[in-house]
Amino acid sequence: MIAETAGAGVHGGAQTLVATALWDCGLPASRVVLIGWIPAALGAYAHRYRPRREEPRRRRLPTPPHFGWRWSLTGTALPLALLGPLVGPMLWEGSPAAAFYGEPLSLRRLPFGLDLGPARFGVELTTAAIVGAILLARSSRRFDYTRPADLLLGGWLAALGGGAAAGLVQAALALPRDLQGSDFFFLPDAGLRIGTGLSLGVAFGWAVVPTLLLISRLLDAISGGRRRFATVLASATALAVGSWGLAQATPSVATPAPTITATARATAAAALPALTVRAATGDSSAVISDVNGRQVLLRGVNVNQLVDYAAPTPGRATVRPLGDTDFASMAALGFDVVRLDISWSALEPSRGRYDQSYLDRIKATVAMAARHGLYTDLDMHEDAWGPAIAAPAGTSCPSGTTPSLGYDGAPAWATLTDGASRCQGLSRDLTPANTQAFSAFYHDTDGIQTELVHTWAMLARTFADDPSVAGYGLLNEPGMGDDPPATSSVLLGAYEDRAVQAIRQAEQQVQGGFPHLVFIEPSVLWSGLGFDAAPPRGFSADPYLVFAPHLYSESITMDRSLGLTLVSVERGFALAEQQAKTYGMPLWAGEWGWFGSTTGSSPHPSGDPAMLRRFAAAEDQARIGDAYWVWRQACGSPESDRQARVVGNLVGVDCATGKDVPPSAATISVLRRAYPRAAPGALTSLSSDSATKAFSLAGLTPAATAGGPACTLDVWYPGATKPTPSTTGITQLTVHQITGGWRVTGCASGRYRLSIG
Amino acid sequence: MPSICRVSHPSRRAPFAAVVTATGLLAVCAAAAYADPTSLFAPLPWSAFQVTSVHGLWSVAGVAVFLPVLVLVTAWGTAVSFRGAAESTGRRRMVVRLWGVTILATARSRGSPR
Repeated sequence: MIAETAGAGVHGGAQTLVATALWDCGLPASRVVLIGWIPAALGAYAHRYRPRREEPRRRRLPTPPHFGWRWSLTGTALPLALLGPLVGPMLWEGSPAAAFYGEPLSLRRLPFGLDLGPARFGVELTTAAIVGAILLARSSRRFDYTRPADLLLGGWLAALGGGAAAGLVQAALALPRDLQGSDFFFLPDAGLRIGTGLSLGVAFGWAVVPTLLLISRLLDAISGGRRRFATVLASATALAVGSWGLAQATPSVATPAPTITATARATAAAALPALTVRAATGDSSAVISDVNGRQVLLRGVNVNQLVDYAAPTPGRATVRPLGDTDFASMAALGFDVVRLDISWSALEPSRGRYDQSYLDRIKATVAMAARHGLYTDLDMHEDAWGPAIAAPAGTSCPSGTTPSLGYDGAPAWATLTDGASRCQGLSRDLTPANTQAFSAFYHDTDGIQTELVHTWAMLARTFADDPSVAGYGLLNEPGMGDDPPATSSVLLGAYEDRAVQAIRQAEQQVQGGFPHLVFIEPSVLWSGLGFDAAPPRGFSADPYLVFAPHLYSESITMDRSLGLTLVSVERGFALAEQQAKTYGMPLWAGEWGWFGSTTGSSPHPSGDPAMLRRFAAAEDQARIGDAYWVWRQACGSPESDRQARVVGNLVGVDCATGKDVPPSAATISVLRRAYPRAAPGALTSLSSDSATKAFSLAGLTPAATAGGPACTLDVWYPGATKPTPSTTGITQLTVHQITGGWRVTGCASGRYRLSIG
Repeated sequence: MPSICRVSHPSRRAPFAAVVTATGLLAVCAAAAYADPTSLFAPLPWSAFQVTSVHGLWSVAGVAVFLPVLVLVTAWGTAVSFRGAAESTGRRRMVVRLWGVTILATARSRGSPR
């Protein structure tokens, strides 16, 4: 366990160790619940064990007097009460379901507005204690608890059962919400919650018997003949104190409030003012804002044309050329951001030496995007660790697996696979060499993580005073490594915190530098499942972080191959919003798309229009931005189907002729739908119908804003027909035509509304 | 002989049951890991059962530490359960008890090769 968290750096303290231990237990244990009965039955039956028939069935072992259910209740309740508040928050906070606890367990929808709130801990602890006590008391009749080993095992198993029961209660409380919608989220959610409960039992079970013996003697000494009353009173008191302590001990994460530095404020009048974070207040979530105090929606597309992909098909380019016309086309669709994917392998091809020509290409691309009114998110792209994961030619793989093609990301010198297999099974992210390489990275083996942190510092110095750089994406779809999921998230958070600190130091070293946004991703499992154990709350104290998961529910998540939907599009948004709220960060969808197939007799490069519209509706309801995957894709990319005639899901390409295949009208209508690029104060509602072009928004500024950029509402509206807005609380309204559509601007103050169509 | 086995006290068969349960858990975990290479549902990843050419001691910890803990805790829990079982304890109760032992053993060995 200690070695496991060795890469956690500043997080490698006692809290991390305990949280790691707890979560190391829960998930594998919850899985073995499903299959553990098989060896159990083998063990119980294989030796033909059965009770002697001549023995009376009711004959039981002599039971020590302190193993009645009241004593057992005390024995199980006290460890929970005394130790629970100390390590319980780590258990709850460290669990994959931690971010989902807020709303599902808040029982505000009960009649009379009843809200149990923190009392949920009491419900769970009481359940665990009572079930554990019953199991212990009943098993004491069948097993010889006068022997220490039996006693210890019996207490621990009883606690395990109690913990599982607590998990079941959690799952039951969450069920009404989990059953809303058409997906099967209740299945993974219940599994996670039962895993949490099992962790509880494993963590505290060892203490049950010692506590029981101690309390038994203590109460015997002080209660005289009133043992029944004393045990019940002690149990009730312990549970009450424990529940209260657990609720009180739930950590509140103190993150300093974001501030706008003088250097950042100097960009206020620029075409692309510097971006920052406005912290959550009351019921309003944290949002991305500019230095003028306006909420900014970053909507755009991923650009992979600077990525250094492995080349599985000789003679075919892995990326398509990138030029000014690309950015002009993006601007004509109303986009205001590009997520520019860059490669560590191209940036630092040999250790400690940066490729200046590649860096110059990045700088030129950022400048090109800015000329077209597009912010840039510099994303350290990585898929399945890196191109060096590719299996050597002639590699023979077992049935059901294929040689890994290698993808993009880390340089060869930072690819430490320790001889693990390069054969790819169900998913490229689960190739053994890939998981081994990620483990080496998370544990900073040979200092490779440190090298990437240094690379980030170099990039941050380069763009320290550039307001057109929206921020930095620290690592695209980071793998899980060979660690259990929660451990991986702890280690991922540790890397992200290191990189953020390096970026902040670098920005301060440059005159005119200011803190840029940093886009934080959970592991690639979030892309593959629609949820995951994200880094624990408080993994970084930086106030300029944005939670940026990839929202691929109902498109390329793994559940599609099972023929069911574990997480719907709408649930995916809800879970991401809940996680962002837990962190106190704004939410941004770093990737989405692929609602369709690019293969088969009738390729549908742009995807299912109905699904695209559902995603758009959910996104507008959440009032957030996104980057669609992907602007262009080359036929020689390892991500392209080598048999497909047309590849790409926005601007496609015909692999036979090399000519562009334009996006479908349905896709374009969704992507270029109307939206506010910047809104004074905060948006309170947003709706934009891509089919009818009906658009409406409402917002609220904290106080009457003066003129100038701070009050300027800036709305993109597509098409050739001039829109006729109706407004409330907006003055100086102007509508002027630009390429591809219209910019509607005005000065908004107080409560304001704008609608078109 | 069979009749003697049937009526002998369970504690006399504890070693055999311990071996059967521990070996069975190992086999079931290996089969699940092989059948589910994602290890989303399998208790252990397939790498937990693999020995690869590695640098350093820690990389063999999965095989050198994890599996022995899994086997020993399972065997210990099974043996203790049989030794301490009353003669009236039936098969069903024993299956439930050993089921709990397998969960506890997996939890204690932490389910990760690293």
